[in-house]
Amino acid sequence: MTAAKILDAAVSPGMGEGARQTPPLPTGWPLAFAAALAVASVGIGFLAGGSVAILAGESMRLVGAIAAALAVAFALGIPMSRALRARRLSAEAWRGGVPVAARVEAAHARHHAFTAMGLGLFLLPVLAVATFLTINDAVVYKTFLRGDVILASLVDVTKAFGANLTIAVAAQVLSMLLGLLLAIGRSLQGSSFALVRGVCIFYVDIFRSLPAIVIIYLVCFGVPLMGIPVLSDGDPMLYAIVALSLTYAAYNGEQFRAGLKGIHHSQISAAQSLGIPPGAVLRLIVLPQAMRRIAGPMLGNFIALQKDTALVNIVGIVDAFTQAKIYSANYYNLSSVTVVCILFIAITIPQTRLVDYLVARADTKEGR
Amino acid sequence: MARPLIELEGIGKSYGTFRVIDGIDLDIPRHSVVSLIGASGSGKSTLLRCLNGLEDIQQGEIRLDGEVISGLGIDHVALRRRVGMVFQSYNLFPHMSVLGNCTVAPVITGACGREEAEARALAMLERVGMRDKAKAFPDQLSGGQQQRVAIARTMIMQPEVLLLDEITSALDPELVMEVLDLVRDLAQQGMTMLLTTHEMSFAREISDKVCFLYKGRILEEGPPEQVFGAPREAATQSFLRRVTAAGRL
Repeated sequence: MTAAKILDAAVSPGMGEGARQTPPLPTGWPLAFAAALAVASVGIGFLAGGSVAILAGESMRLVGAIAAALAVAFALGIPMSRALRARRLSAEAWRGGVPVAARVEAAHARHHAFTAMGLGLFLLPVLAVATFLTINDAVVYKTFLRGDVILASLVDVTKAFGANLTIAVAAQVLSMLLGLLLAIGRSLQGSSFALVRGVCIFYVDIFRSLPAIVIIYLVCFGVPLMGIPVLSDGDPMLYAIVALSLTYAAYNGEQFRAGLKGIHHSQISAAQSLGIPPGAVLRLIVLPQAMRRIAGPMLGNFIALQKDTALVNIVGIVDAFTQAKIYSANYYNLSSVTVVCILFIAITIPQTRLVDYLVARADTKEGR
Repeated sequence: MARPLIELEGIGKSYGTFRVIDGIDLDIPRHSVVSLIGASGSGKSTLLRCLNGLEDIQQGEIRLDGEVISGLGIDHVALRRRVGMVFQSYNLFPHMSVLGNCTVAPVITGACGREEAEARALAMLERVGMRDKAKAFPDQLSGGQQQRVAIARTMIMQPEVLLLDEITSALDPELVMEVLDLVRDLAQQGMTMLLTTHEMSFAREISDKVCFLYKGRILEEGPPEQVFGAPREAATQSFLRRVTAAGRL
């Protein structure tokens, strides 16, 4: 405040003689918006507190509601009161002819108001979910999160999840290889390969149009029905792997193609002009750079494939979802399916982090 | 007089209706330096790229040491090992270290084993003053350093002729000299070079012959003193006037 006053004296000596001064930024609407959010948060806090507390007994309801409302009010009250104080100081400074100090205080007021807004925007959905889970005697919670059902189904569902993992890993590898072939086929130049390009485009168009569940159904039931020796005697797991590989090869192929196209032509010119043969240009120069760029989107495909392994339950393969459905039918409760959700989440998040790490490492290596 | 290392005879090339090269004859004697100058779009870079098969030609014939290297049926991979090229934008491979950039071609083409390739690469990097950066990655280097590595990478293949395509155009002014000094060294060691450049004073100093390209033709050619000192054609005079005004001469 004092520093600002000195600054004012230095930069605006003409203030007294009617020099025009830009007023501070507005603090009214941020504060009003923050206040509205605060009121809403306190209200939903009251609801959530009561709803959660009822799990501990009916008598706790009001205590919980008031405690939660007070806690929310306190949390939001701190930035709100700071914002109001700064707003008051700003107005005083402006009236007192110290415009720089007025602007500084207005900036503080806005900062605290935005902090309150952020807190409110965080608390509103969190408290709403808490209310939803516990409302009506915690019926939602008891439908999806019953501890005894989770414990009872945990071992069998986790064992059955092995089928999902097997299918996912095998199909990821196969669909990558097939996708790479599709991308290379589609990138071949010259009239000689026009038909090859056409076949690749046709394949990608068809398999991107068809729902994975339909392809799984057709392959897993159709191939055994055909009665062709050897081919029709396979394991259902094998057919599921083939069906998902065929589907995801189309997506991966498009990803590879985008990656290959994204490498600037000058890289290829440089490699060619060093006398590196075409196959090696692709393998040593183009693909490594393309892979780095498509690692993120490619992992997106992997995760989508992983999730689609749950579709195999329609052809009778006992995967985690099938197993969970057996438990949910026996217990008349969906908590066993929650176990499936947790398993999928548990394998997906580390993969996302791994790719983030790999991409970041590649970036520092390339300095990009 | 000995046969020129490179002979261009009646070269023509069009992109659609645009005649980018319109009948060019040019001899490049062994151990000589020939510079192509001219405005953007005059066909300099395209002509260069025709010499190692990055572009094909529609008329005429190119010979390297008497052997035809243009037209159908040319083994471009083999040709490019004899004709090295350095680019305006360096085009180092960003996912490989400096040493990796230098050894990938000799190793994959079987020119030598990995150990020998590394020894040769380190010796060549020493020559271009980049040995201490052998483990660095291209993006950690300045433009001038990258271009020196790109030259070393090409020289390791021991080409018979070196094509330099505006190799200082993407460089900050203070980095131009380090690259030009290197090219001057190569010229003194007898490397046959064909270069396109906007550095007129450099072209004047280093070249045995300067060709002024205008609309796909060589409008004027001769020793640098003649082309720069006493240009005959009006277009050459006008081009040089504009270059001088821009402070490039």
